[in-house]
Amino acid sequence: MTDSAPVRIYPDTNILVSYSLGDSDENFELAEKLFEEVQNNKYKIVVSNFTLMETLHALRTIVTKMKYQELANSPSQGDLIQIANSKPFEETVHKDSMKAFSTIIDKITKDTQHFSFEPDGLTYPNETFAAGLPLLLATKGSFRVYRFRCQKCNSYLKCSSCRVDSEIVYKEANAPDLVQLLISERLGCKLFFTMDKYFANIPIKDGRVKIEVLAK
Amino acid sequence: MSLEPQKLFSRLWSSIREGLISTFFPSDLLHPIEKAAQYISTKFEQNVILETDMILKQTTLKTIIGPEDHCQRLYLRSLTGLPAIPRTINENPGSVTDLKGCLSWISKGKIDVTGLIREIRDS
Repeated sequence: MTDSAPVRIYPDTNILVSYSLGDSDENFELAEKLFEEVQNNKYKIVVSNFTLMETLHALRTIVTKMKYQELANSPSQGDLIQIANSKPFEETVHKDSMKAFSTIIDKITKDTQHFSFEPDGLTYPNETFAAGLPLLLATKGSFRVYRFRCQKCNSYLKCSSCRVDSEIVYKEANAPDLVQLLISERLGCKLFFTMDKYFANIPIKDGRVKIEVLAK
Repeated sequence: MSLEPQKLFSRLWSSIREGLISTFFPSDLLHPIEKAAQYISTKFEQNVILETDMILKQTTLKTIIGPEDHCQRLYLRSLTGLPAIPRTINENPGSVTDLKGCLSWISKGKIDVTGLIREIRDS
């Protein structure tokens, strides 16, 4: 344990969700290392409403994906439309994702030592978000080539019409990434932790929140 | 009424220091009484420190949550249908690890959460 007061840090949504998923996430060990330091009182986590919104949406997306992947046989598009519009499917996804979200809320709201929250009634001056556009303008993205994949079994695919099996995609930090970063500054955090490598390209100047990209 | 030895010596020494009963004791007895009182006092303090350390290790500490912080936590809990928590709660030093893997039931296979959130942000 450290004797000095813990440093306020802002973990990206991917870290909070990864740690909650445990071994089920590919990058769990990275999140686990950070949380060990939180446990040792080196850091105190600041959770924003934005992070919680993203967490809820990510959990809904994960649960939907899992339910889809669990479907037996090879359902046709018609079958899938029927399933997607059915009440039991909607209720299962809603129930499981809410159970997951409330589990996180339960644990982090009970832990006053390691988690703090956005103060009630906090306002964000326009300058906070005005700083985002210059940052995005100065951020240089990259082009990536991705192979098409089946979302159900993860096998690689080829287009039946033009025979193409990959696509070019532009990748860089995006508006939601910068919003997270700027919120972290407004909440007085010294460090912003993420597992998303695209944050490394954001040209943030000294004296502002420091970005730490956790990587294997 | 019987007093424990350390209390008895402590009171006696206080009285002597205050000069109330020093006249009743011969001067050759005052020094041994002073020594005994100091010894007992030191031992007593050591025991108190040892016992306090032991109690701190074995007792769950209580934390009082600040009013604004408490409101925010209650608000988040109420949004998700969770019961309220009192302002004074037991501090659990292992609480961060309670979060670890609490959602492992969601998936039997591996998930790339970072990639998934990247897709959400890019879409």
